[in-house]
Amino acid sequence: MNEQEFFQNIARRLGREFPADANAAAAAPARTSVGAPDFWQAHEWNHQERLDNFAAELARLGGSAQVYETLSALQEGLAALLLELSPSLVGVWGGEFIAKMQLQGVLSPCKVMEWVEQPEMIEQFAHIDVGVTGCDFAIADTGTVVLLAAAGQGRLVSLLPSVHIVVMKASQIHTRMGEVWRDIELRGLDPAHLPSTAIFISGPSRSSDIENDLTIGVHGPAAVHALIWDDGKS
Amino acid sequence: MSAGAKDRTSVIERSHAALQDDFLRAAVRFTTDRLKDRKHGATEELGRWEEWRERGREIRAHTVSHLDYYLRRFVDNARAAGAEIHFASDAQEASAAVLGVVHAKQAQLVAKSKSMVSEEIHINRRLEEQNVRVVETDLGEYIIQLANEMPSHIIIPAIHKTREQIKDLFTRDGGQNLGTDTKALVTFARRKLRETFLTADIGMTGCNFGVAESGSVVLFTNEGNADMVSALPKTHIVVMGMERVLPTFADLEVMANLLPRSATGQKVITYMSVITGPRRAQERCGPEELHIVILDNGRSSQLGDDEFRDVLHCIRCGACLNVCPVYRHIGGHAYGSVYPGPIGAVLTPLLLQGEEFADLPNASSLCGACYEACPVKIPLHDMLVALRRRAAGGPRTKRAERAAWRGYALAFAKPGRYRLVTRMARLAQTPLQHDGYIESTWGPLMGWTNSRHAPALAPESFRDRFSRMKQDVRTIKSDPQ
Amino acid sequence: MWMKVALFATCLVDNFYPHVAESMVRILNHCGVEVEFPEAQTCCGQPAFNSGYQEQARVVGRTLLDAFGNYEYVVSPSGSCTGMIHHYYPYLFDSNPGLAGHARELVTKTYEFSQFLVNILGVTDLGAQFAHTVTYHPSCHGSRLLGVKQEPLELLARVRDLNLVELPHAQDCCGFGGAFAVKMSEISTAMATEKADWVTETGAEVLVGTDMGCLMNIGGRMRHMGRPVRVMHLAELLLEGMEQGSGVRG
Ligand code: SF4
Repeated sequence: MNEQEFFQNIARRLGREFPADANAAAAAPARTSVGAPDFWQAHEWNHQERLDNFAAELARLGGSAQVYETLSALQEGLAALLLELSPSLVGVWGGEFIAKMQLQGVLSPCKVMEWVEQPEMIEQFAHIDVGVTGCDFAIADTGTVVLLAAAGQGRLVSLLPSVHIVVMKASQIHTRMGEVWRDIELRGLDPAHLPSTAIFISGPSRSSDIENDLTIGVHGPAAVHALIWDDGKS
Repeated sequence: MSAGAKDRTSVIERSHAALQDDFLRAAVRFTTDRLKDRKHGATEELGRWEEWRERGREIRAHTVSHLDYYLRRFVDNARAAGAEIHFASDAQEASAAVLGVVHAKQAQLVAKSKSMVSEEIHINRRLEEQNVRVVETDLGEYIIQLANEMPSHIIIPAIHKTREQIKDLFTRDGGQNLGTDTKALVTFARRKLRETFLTADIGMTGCNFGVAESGSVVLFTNEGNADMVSALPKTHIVVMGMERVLPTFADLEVMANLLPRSATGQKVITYMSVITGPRRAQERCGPEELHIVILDNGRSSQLGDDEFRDVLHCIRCGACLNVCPVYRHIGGHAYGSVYPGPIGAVLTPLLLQGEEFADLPNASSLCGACYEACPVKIPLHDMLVALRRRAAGGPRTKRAERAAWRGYALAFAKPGRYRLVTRMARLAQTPLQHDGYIESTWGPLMGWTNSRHAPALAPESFRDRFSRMKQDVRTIKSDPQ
Repeated sequence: MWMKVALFATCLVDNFYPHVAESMVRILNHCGVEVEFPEAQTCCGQPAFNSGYQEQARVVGRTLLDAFGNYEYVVSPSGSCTGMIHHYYPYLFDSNPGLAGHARELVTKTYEFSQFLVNILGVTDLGAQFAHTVTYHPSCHGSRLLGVKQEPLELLARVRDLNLVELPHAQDCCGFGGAFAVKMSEISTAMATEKADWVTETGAEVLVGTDMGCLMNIGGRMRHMGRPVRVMHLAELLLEGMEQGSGVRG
């Protein structure tokens, strides 16, 4: 159907002659309220509460969260976890992440593959055991990590392996989802410059489609480990 | 049995079949009870649920009443992000738009994630007619596809299937020595569907919400399949109902709180993907092309109809199914279309004209449980009455029924006539009654008396007795507090 | 306290269950309330309304506007019929300027029995005694649409020696739904059967409720299944209890 007619039809059904013009900012329909109830919008936790709640919520979802006082403690924690999992191949998302978190040393005993470019990577990552990524934000209320598609960040590394390890900082944790939007909005909502994908991950992949019996690891990872450097303390 | 409207049966006939199926009834009862309990727990834990619900209703009502504005913004912004938009006034145009992309890409294999709207346009059938293979990747949908059936629940499509049946279906699809334990079955599906994700030419999804301020498509899944379907193949096609829009991300936060709690009692959905255009040049993953097919298919006529506009507020959570006492006993297939339960009983007759759907609005006791459960407060029970009212004047209504209600109005509109009629009935019932009850299967109320004893009219009505009653009114104080 | 109220008996109670209305009169008398029964009333029109016959509902519902115009309070034994007035009368009579005001006024002064006792009269303890095991079915329209949830339970809680057992799945509809029970009788029967099974499971001797339509349905089903249970309207139970007990505490 013709686009013009499509919109004309909607407007007519709403009792208007012409469809409302979306380009003129002034034409935005007036609203009494936007978003969550006011009490929720005012809800904010302090650093420690955010950290504790994030860890507790992720654990409730079947994931795990470990908090480290220093970056080097985190590195040791990651090394221990990798030793325990002893994956034949570790996938990492690219960019400056490894360098920033100084993970080269920790990863060096493993065979590591960095996500470079789709589609070539897909086949190779499809059967990888462990994926290590950072995250852009996290949400304390729900134990969620948020990964954006961005230069150098192959976010599929979080989805294809059976174990997903997120290396993150406590300062990335927000209280609730609305704050994440505010941060993304601050970078500009211009659609051409938004990341093509923002993915909100809350615990391991799950399904209850077989006789309502909950199982994890259906398509995405069966385990999600968050290693958190408590940068608020240092 | 592949139930549904392919056979032109009535709701009564279809529900008769369902009522004989003890497994189905037990399975539906078991699962809906659980979902209901979990939802209850999740909303209690959140607290102030009614305030959330009211916000949900406000947001949906505002958006739908300004749909021309918000859909325009959504479209403009999605285009600015690089998406290609197609408009479809009905199922056929939507299928044509999808097929257009499929042909242009010379696609052989389409991987799908669960989407009610794609069920609505029967896209799988259209694609298969063109020798394009379609694979459903949501575990429940995959089971249903192997069984060649329709989903019987909006959220849990295979609610009616046993693990034995699922094992047999998977075995036919190449599973070897499968057990019936969930882990084994899921492992098979994971392996099998992984191949599909990796080799599909096109990924196809629905759209839980579209965000107008950014042109983003938002997908909710627990399994992670929508994210794979949208990110792995080179082309991603979204089919969305035109009413799926929300004004802002802030509004999405409300839906992200309402939807998973209402659907499965989860505090949060496992994967929420916010997709704004295809992958950008500097990015390292995502599809090269994003097509969004925006579907009307009867929605605009609901938009123009004051009595039914609110049905467009629906966020397809399935909560109304889980609390519905009718759905509980007859399951989803008896409703005969892709939308079962109370929402289906309203939506289907609005969308489809067939005889086989005509009785759907009558398949409700109007108990109001659906309204109470609905996270956006759609008054489904009132809509069912409105549908009955429209049908009452129509050609499908039996003359006897109309005459009966005319007779009722005639007799009950005047107290004198009412008294006369009830006295006559009292006389007429004498030979039928026994011990204050009518036990025989009897006349026009046979449906009642088949399974229930009916009370006989009292020997004397209250109004006749009242005039002789002596009232002894005590002067007292109310309870001391 | 001395007060006069109009009784809206409902057509079902008027013709099939007059003792329910009589019990209400006795209890209200005990609470210092005189009851009148305006004879112009017949039925609220809900059966026709719910079946889609709005015009027929309107002409029948008018009898209530005629009957209750001059009263301060209207009290009814049915949450469903009270709900009909509350939710649909303003809409039903909206187009008639002569009646719209009356309809809205009727909404503000019409109460379901337990609602009236607890919220208007402030009475919860009627001094009743009832030494039986009882289970309570909350009818859908009364509890969901009218919002009467706590009132019947508060009244029952003050009845001495009464053993109230919770009805599993109490909120589920019993399958009555007026014409639904006839048109979709097989589905309705399945619902009534499940309800009956839960009632049996409680082991209660008495099933109590605030709507005779539902009680007629459940009781009729149980009698047909050969497991009769004593079915009582709340007013009947309270009155019987008052006769056993000490009467209203004042
Ligand atoms: S009608 Fe309400 S409860 Fe039913 S699916 Fe839609 S949003 Fe959910």
